[in-house]
Amino acid sequence: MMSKKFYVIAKFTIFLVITASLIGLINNLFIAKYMYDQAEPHTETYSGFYQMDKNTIDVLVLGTSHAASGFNPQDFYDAEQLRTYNLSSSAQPVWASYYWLKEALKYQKPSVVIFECNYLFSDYMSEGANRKTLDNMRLGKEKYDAVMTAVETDKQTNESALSYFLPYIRYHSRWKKLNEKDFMLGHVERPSVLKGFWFYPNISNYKEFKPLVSENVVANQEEFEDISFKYFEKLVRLCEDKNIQLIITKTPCHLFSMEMHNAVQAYANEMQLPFYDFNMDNLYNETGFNYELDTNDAGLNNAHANPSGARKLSVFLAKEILKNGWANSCKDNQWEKSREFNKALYKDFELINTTDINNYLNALQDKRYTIFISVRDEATVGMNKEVKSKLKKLGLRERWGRNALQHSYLAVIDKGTVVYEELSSQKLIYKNSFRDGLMRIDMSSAGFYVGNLSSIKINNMEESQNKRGFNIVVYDNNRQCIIDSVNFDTWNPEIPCQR
Amino acid sequence: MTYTTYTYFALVIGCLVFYYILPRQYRWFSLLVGSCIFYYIASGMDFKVISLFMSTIIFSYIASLILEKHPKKLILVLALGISIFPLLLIKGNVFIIKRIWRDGIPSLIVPLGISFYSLQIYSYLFEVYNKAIEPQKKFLKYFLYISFFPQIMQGPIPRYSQLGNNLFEGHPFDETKISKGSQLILWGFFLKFVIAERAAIVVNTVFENYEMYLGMFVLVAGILYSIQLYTDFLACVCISKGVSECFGISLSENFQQPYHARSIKEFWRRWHISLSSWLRDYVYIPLGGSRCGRIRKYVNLLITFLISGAWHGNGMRFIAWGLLHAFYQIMGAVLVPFKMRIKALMGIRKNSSLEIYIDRGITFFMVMIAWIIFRADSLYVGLKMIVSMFTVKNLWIFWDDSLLSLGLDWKEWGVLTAAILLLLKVEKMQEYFVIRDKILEQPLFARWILYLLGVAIVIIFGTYGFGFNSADFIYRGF
Repeated sequence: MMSKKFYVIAKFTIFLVITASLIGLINNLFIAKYMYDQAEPHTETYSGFYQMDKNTIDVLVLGTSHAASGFNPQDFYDAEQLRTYNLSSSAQPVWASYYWLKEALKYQKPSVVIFECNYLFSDYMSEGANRKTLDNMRLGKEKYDAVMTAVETDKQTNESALSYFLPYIRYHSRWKKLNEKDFMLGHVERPSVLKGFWFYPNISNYKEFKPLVSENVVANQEEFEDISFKYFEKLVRLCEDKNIQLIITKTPCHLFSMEMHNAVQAYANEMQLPFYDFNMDNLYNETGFNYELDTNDAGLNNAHANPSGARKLSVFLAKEILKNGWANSCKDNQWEKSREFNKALYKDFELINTTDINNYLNALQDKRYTIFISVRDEATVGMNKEVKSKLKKLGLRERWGRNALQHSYLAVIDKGTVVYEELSSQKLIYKNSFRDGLMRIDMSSAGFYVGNLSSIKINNMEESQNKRGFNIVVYDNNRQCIIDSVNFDTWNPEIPCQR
Repeated sequence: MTYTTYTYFALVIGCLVFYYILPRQYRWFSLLVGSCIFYYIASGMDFKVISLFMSTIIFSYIASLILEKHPKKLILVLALGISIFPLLLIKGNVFIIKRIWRDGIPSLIVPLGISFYSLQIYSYLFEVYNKAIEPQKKFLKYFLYISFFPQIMQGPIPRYSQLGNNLFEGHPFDETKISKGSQLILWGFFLKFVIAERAAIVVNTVFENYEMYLGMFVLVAGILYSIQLYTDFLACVCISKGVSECFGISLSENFQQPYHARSIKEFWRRWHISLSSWLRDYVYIPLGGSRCGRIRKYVNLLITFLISGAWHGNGMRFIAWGLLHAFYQIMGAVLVPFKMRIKALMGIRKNSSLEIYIDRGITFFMVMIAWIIFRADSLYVGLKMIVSMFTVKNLWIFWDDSLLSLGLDWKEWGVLTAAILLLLKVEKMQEYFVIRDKILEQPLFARWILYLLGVAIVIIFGTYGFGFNSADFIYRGF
């Protein structure tokens, strides 16, 4: 009798364990993933954080996307060997910054916390943003408290707290959109290479920005948003308790006003906290920040630094931290190993923003890339010797003589090796796969008389600009994503560039 | 709290643990406590609702004891009248109260499951009066009989002779029953979330925008609503039966492949069986049934279906829906010789597959037409939609991607189609054997794979969560 009871209980328990594992697997499969192939790699940031060695992070950054794109931990390290990690996220509410700090303190002992004050004045709430910041937090009291706060402050969606702990409730309808990254099951099984930095690769060319002038300080102060301020105070107290130097900062942003600056400055003075507002003319000039070239976007709601801007802000802050003795330099393999990856990011940034074909072809000489070229219409009339020589340097054999006039042309260069190149008076089609069959390529090219088109389909998605001349798509094998799709009109002697 | 929430299943698991821990003679206490907690939470902890529910139970309990000793018709009529008065008040408010309170209908207290437990009390008192059963002397046991939580919300409407002792006797732990109950619960979730809620997206789009979607769109929505209503209700019954079986308690069947019926008469023997049999036993037969001549039989049918329509809800469309079903049945009986002659002329052999499929098709179509009236905003709208099926010629919507504008993309349509085909297959198999028994005959490994597959399918392909409010069952609204 006893043994039968035991058998039933054991069977029941095993079945429950298997069912729970299945649900865990489904959770991991369906949860939205934001890896480093995307501009906002939340999954990489948070999952990668847990993979860092214990007590190796000295500087922790918290805040919204302004902070995520404005402070590059690798630049902190490369400048002053400050071991930095950025735990910022998209529209991160201040309460989430607070709970992430509590969570981070379970694994790390930072000497400095940099808090970007973008959301101290905002009551903006987004269920999506809450998910992005909480989905990858490990189960525990901090997650429970954070989820409860998320549910309390979420007046728009009425999402249940349970759906944060069992994410399949929220994400199961993603079965229609599952892709390669989803089958990584949300695991980042190595220290994050980006360490929380967001690579926003564009240049805003925003010319209207005027730094706030220190001499024009007005007395008016913007009011802090209640809930944000409540959690900010908690964050301040937590830093005090843990003997962490809190630095308040604000990245350059045309939406940040003098009244906001005054409010933060007054609070910082009261609490004797350093406040680095890079909108103030003195700091803005000192960092050498150029709003036109160093921001990715500058619209009605957004203002994010690009890697060039992030480098200026990061290097400046790193030097300040070291100068004030708030943290010490320390060599660490986790940052040494990610240096090359970050260097490559800056190279990509240059490539993406290059409009000169010669510079572009120079930048393409990198074995990280798989390059797809497809000509439409005509590509020879405007081509000069320099361009021909640069193409040759890439390993391409075509000489681009008169015989190539209005011809179709296709070429593929994979990690420095030309795997296909053909010029023809007929329409050309090329189909192949790369990355062990994970990347399917379907290309075609047709000169003026045989169809007049260019197509570069990668996994069935059209990526070609399909314009006259050279259409080039660049795939970065490091980040496993397309980083650029560009057209150079080599019929036109000026060779204009279009994206 | 509804039958698909985590809270409900936490309650069920808690009750199950206590049920099997307690000595057998006290096991019903676990059900009683569970029922109290369920009713308290599910009624929104509303004191007025609970009070009305409690007073109905207390009154009917006392009435049953009086009826046992003084089985007088007057007492019965009074007891029945008072017991079902709240139900009559709620169901009749549009027709009666509107005339009394011309300035507006006062808000009424609507206890959870009133449509179901009122009929349950009615049959109980009737049976006590007829000496078919002995009344339950212990109040708490009677209370449990009325409030048994797995079935109070949507039935099946039980009879005391069938459920009473089953509830109180304290069943021994039986792994087989728990497995079979769990299978039913899983199947209920599949029906609810994979079929009913997915079909509801299309149904709601069409019915809520009926000016925009006419003709063949109404046909599509009508078919899907027929499936939605059936799977939604069947899902609830499966979950109720499944949970009850985990306690070792058997609830009666409420459906028997209703869309396999070959006539409307047969449909009502297969659809919502507990309500149909209740109407038969307490309305149709007491009216004289079919014993008083053909015309009287037809009148009795009309009255019975009128009551059925009124029971389902306020509004002329429900009355029209009920009367339409009575009309179907009357015409079905009148036209038997005509139907036989037509079939003979067409060379359709009796009981051939062709005849069966034709009969089923026609019956389904008639039922579907009635469901359109049932679901529409008003009788007028329902009729307008039905007429458009025959007058608006837009057959091309089946191949010009118009169906993809109804809220489901092609992948969702694929899942819905596959799920409906699975339902059809299961119903076909049910005609020959009990699937749950067949599953239990399989090796443990195969069974577990099947269960896990079921769990995964419901979790992944279910329509729930963000953007959906799929917790409620349709019949709860009746």
